[in-house]
Amino acid sequence: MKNTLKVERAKLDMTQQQLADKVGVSRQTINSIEAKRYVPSTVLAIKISDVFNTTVNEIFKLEKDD
Amino acid sequence: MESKRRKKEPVLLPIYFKKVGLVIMILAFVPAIIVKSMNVELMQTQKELFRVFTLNAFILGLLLVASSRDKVEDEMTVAIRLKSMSWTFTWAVLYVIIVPFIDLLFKDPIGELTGQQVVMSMLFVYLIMYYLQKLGR
Repeated sequence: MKNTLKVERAKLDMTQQQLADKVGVSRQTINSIEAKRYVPSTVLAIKISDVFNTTVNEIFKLEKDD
Repeated sequence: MESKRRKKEPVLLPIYFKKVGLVIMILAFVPAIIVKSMNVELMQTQKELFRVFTLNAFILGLLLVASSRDKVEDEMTVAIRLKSMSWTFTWAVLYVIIVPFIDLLFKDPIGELTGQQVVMSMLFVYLIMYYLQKLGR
């Protein structure tokens, strides 16, 4: 599953740690999501999209092999 | 929503139990080292008692380290713990199957398969897999 988390963070000039603190996870979790090593739960995906005032579908998109 | 999510998380000990576990693991060897350094002759039953005490204390220490919380516990650490558990279970089954064959083939290099051996190796595998996966993230 691809995502635009890094781009969204850059728009708000937000660090991984700041985003992690806002959604209540570790910085490593945010890093893993950005690197596509970890697919977040629905709850976490909604929390992340809330931070960026957008929808989950705008940030997370399915890839061909998903 | 937060309280419901917490109910789904595994029950873990507070973070300071990691340090308690490490201290117990180190202290487990102290009586054996003292007896060895003082050159005290022990009876067979006393030797056995020391062996059991050392191993059990070491296993207890490993268990405390393995079952205590990390600084930040989130859904990814839960996923990593689950994966490590899966590896540990597979390891235990393979260990119990393979060790008797190794004993037969190489004339008892490991000795009699005991519960303590299995549990200790399981805890080691769990901790190794858990920290390896965390490092890779």
